[in-house]
Amino acid sequence: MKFILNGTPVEIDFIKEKLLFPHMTVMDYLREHAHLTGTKEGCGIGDCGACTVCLAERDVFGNTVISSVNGCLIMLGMLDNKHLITIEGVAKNGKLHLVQQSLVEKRGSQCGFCSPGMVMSAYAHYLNKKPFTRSSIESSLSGNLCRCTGYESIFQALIDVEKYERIEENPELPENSREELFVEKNGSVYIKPLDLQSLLKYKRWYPQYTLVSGASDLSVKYKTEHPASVSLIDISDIEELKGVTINKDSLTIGANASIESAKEALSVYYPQLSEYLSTFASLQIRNKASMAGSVAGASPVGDIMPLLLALRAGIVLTSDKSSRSIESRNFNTAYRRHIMADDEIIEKFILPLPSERHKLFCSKQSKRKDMDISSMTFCISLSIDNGIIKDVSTGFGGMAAVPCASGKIEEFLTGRPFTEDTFIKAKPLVRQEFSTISDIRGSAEYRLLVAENLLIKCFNDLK
Amino acid sequence: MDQSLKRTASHLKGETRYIDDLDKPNNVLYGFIYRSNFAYGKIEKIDIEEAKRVKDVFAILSYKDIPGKNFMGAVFDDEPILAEEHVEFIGQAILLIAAKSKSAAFEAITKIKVDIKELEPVLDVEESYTKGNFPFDPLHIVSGDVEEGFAKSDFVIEGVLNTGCQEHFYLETQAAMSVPKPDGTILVKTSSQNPSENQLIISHALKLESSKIEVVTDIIGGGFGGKETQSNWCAVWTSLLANHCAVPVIMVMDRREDMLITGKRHPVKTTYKAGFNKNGRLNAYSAKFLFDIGFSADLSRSIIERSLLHLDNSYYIPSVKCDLYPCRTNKPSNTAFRGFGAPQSIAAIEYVMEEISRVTGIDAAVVRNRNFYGKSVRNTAPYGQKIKDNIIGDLYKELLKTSDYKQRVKSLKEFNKSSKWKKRGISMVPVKFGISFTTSFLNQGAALVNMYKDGSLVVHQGGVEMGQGLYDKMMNVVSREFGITKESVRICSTNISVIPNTSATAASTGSDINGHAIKLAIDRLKNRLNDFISLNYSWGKEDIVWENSFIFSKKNPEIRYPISEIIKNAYLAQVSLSEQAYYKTPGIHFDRVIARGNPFYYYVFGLSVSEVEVDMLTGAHKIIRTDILHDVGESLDKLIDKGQIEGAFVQCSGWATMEELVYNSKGALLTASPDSYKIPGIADIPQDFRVNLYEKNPFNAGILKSRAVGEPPFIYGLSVWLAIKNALIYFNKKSCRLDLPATKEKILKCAYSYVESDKN
Repeated sequence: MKFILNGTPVEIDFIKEKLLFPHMTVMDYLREHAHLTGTKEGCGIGDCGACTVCLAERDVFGNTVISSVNGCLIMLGMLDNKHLITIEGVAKNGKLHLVQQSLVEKRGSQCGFCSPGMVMSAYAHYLNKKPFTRSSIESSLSGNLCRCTGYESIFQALIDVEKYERIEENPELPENSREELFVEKNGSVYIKPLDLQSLLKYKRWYPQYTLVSGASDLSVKYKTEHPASVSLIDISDIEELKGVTINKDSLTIGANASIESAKEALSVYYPQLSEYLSTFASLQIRNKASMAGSVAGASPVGDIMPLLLALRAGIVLTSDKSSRSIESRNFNTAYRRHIMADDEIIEKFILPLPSERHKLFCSKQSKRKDMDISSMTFCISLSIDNGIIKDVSTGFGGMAAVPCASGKIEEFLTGRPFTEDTFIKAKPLVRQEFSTISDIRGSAEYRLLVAENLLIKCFNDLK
Repeated sequence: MDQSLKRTASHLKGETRYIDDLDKPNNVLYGFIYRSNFAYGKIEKIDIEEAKRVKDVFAILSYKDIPGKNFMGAVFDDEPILAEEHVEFIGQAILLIAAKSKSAAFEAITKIKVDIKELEPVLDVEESYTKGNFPFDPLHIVSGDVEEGFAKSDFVIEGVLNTGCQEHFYLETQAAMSVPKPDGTILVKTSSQNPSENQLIISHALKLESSKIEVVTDIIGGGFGGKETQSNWCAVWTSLLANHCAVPVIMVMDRREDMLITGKRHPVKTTYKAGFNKNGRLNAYSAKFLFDIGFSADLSRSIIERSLLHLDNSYYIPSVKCDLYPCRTNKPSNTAFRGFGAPQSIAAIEYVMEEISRVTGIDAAVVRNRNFYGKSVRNTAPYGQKIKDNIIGDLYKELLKTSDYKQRVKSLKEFNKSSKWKKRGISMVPVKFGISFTTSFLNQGAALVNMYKDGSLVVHQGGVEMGQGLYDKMMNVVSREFGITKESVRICSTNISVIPNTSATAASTGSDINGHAIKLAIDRLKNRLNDFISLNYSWGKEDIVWENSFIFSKKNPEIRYPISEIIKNAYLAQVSLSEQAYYKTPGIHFDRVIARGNPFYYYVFGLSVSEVEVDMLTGAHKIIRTDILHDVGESLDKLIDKGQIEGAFVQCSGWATMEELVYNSKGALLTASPDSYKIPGIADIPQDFRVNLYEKNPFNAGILKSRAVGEPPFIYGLSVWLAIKNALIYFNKKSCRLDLPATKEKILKCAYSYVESDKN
C-alpha cells in the first residue's frame, strides 16, 4: 500500500514488513513503528481523542476532503492512497501553527497529554475553513477530553484564531493508482475491494469475514480481546457505497456514507436532525462511521435505527445475485440478529423526504451530551391535518431487545387532536408496550419514565 | 522563548515525552499483571507452567519472588504488592509477567491458571460499618454542646446524603520504566506525584538501600492525587521485574486496567442533623460520615482528617459533634483526589445550607452570609484554630454585585412561573480551604540552586510538574528573586537523588514549600555574591541591584554589568556558585486524638455562583452561567491560576452531575471504561464562564504573597449540583434528596419521587 505521511510518501509491503499488519490501528503503527509518539493513547477505544489525526483523501467527486479521525480506531490498511497528517506534521519548519501558537498564549494546555489530539481536531477545523466560534469549536472538539483545563482556555485560544488571516494549506494526495489490497499473513486476512462488484464476490466467497469501514466497534473489540488472527473485508473505499443522492420524494444514502455526510444531507430536509445526529458519538467517529455500521451491529440501542424506524426508511440489501428493498421495521429479528443472508450486504438506505405537514421529533438520552451511548432513544414522525394527527410512526431504542416501533402508541395517536392532552393520555401505553431492563446506563424505571416524558416533550417541541 | 513557553509548545507539538513515549532500550521487556476476578477469595492453586513456555515470556513472578517486603502502604503497611493467600478486590495483582512483546504477555495471561475459592465480599459501606471493619480508629470531633444547640433551635432537620466515587481520569495512565544499572543501582522513571514514596517502596521490596534507587519524574500527564500512592504499583512492579530479569522493564497501564485497579475518591454516606433559627443561623450540627475506603488504609486516615477539618466550610457553627468512620470494603483502595476528603464534608454542609433556605424561605446566599465566620467574633473553627485573615465577607459583597445575583434570582423566579417543564435554579457556594498537609511533618521542602560561570541557573526542587504549572511558577520565583531573565533559568526534572526525602506534590502545597526553599537558597547565594561584589566593585552591599540579568549599583545605575561577567569573576575569586536550602512551614500542629490544633498555615477563600436550567422531562441540565471570585493573593501567574480554577470547577461539576461508578453485586466495576464513565466534555461547561481573581487579599501567606490554588476551587463545582437542587424545588415542592452525582436519572427520581431499582 501507498500513502503520504506528513508530506513524505510511504510504501508498505506487508510481506516484507514482518511486524506490520493492515488491521493494526494507525496509532499503533505511528507509535510503535513510525516512531511518532506525538499521537497519544489516552484510552485506545475512541473515547478520549488524544490519538486524533487528520486524514486527507479524495471524495466521490475527486475533491480533497480533510477529516479528523481517531488514530486508535482506524486501521493501517485504510490509509491506502491517502495523506495522513499527525501532530508532528502541523508545525512547519519549527514554526508553530496558528492554532498551536494561540493555545500556547492562552495556556490551553496544562499536563499536555490531550493537547496533540486537541490540536489535530482544531487543525482539521482550520483546514476545513470552519469559523472559530464557540458553537463550532464545541462541535469539532466533541471527541476530545481534557481533564485539566476545564476547556475554557481552549475556547479562548481558538476563538482568537479567528482574528488572523488564514493561510491556505492543501495536503497533497498520492497519484490515483488505486489497487485492491489483499493481505494474507500469520493467519489473518485483510481484503480491501474497491468496487461493489468485487465486494459482493468476496462476500459470497467468504461470508464469515467481517466487513469493516469506520472500525469504531471492531477496533474496540480487538483492543479488549487481543484476537490471534482476524479476517476482514475493508469496505471503506468503495465509492458506490458512499453516495448521497436526492430523488423526487426520497433521499438515498449509501450504506457507507459517513454519519457526518448523512447528517449534512439529512439536515437540509430535517433541520432537527442536525442536533440529533450531532450527538452521535464524536466528530472523529462520525467522520468515519457509517449508517450501515450502526444498523448492521443490530444493537438494541444505537442512534440510527430508531430514526429509520420513525421515518419508515427502506434498506436495500444486495448480494451478487440479487437486490431487495426491505422496510426498516423488518430488519431486526431478535437481540443482535438481523434479516440479512450470509452473502448480503446493506447497499443503501432510502429515506422519504418530508411533506409540508410532516413533523419529526428525535431525542437521545445519555449521561453526557457528546460521545456517549444512549440509555434510550425516541423518534417519532407524524403529520398534522387540520389539527388531527396522522401518519404516525415511531422508533424506540434501548427499550427492548431490538430497536422497535410502538404499534400501540401509533394507533392511539392517529386520528386524535394534536394537543398536549392527547400525548399525556398516550403515556400509559409506554408501560403496556415495553418492559425494559436496568443496566449501567439507567434503571428500567428511569427508561420508562423518560419514554413517557418524551411524548410530552415531543408535543411541546413540535407545537 | 523561555523554558516554560517551550514546555507548553512542546505539548502542542506532540514532542513532550511521557513514560510510554520514551526511547526504549532494545532489550526492554513489557510488564503486565495477572489480576483477580474475585472481590474476595482464597488463592488455592497457581499454575504457570504452560504460560512460562510461551515464546518471548521472560518471567512470571509471585509474591514469593519478592526479595524484600511484600507489604507496602503510605501510612500502614497493609497492601500486598502481590496477593499472598487472599485476594481482596477485583483487579488485584496476583502475578507479574515480563515479556518481549505485548502479544506474548497476553498469550501468557490466557495460559495462567489460578484457582480461587470465592468468599463473601463486603461491598456495602453500611455493612462494613455494622461489622466494625475499621483498619484504624474512627475520627471524632466535638465542640460546644449540640444537644443544647438543637434544643434551642427553631428548626431541626435530619437527613442522609450520598456523595459518589470519582475516577481521576488523568489522561496519561499509570506508567513507569525501571532500568537496572551495572553498578547494582536502579533508575526508575515514573509518572508519580510522590517519587520519594516510589523509592521507599522499591527499597523495601528489593531490599536495596534508598540511595541506590534513582527515581526521576519528568512532566506527568495529569495526577489530581491519583498518582500519589497509586503510582507505587507500576514503579515497584517494574522494579521487581527489572531486578529479576536484569533488563529494563516498562509498564504502562491500559485505561481499562487503570480504572479497574486504582483507587478513587472516597464515596461517603453522610447522616446529618442540623439545628437553626428562623433567621437561618446554625446552632448545632452533628453528622456521621461513613467513608468507603476500599481494601486497605492507603491515605484514608489523612483524607478523613481533612474531611473533619472542612466540615464547617466557611461557617461558624457554635456546636459540632461529628464521627467519621473508615469502612473497609472489597474494592480498590480509595485514595487522594483533589480536595482530599474536603469536598465530601463540604458537600454535606452546603446541602444543609440549601435545606435551611428551603425550610426558612430565606434566600440561600443570605443564609450563607449569615453563617460566615466573622472577622473578630464567631471566628474559631471547631478544631480550635482562629480563622484569622478572613476575607469571605468582602468576597461575598463583591460577587453579589459582579454576578448581579439579586436581579438574576428575580428573573429566574419569573422564568420558572411561565415555564412548565424547564426550571432554572441558582446556588452560591463559598470555600474556605486550609493550606498545609494536615500531617504536619510533611510540610517541608528543599531546593538546590546551581549557577554556572556564564550566569545561567539550574534549579532542582522536590515538586512534580503535572500540568499545574509548578515549574513555571518556580521559574517566576527564581527570575524575580534573582533578577535574571527567564531564558537563563532552567527548572530540572524532579530527581530524588538530587533532592532527597521530598513530600508528595499534593495538598496544594507545591508552590509554597518548594518556592520558599528556592527563595531561601537564592537569598543565601545572592548574599554571598553581593559580599563579593561589594568588596570588588566598591558598591554598598545594600545598593546592589540584580535586574534582567544585569547588576548595578542604585547609586550609579548607568554602569551595568552583565551577570555573566560578574559571576565569572566570582568564580575566579573562588566563590561557591551553588546553594542548597531547606524550608519547613512554621507554627502548625494538629492532635488527631482530641481533634484540636492549628493544622493550617493559612486559608484560601472564594465564592462561586452557578445558574442552571433543568429540563424536568429528561433531567438534562445546562449551566447557563458561572461566576467565580477566587483569592489568589499576588498571583505568580494569572493564566495558570485561572486555568487551575476553571479546571477544578469543571472536574467537580463532573463529580457532581455525571461521573458515576457502578459496581455489581460481586464487586466488579461495570464502568471501568470511558465508554460508560463520563467526565465532562467541551459541551458540558458553563455557557458563560466568568472567573475573576481576587488579588486584594492584604495578608501575606504563600510564597511571594501568592496563594495556593490547586484544590480550593474544586469546591465551586458543587454550585452546579445545588443549583439543580434549587431548580427542582420549583418543580416538585416536596423535599427530595438529591444525592451526588445528580445524574439525569437522579434528577428525575427527585422530580417525580420514584424509587430507583438496582443497576446490577
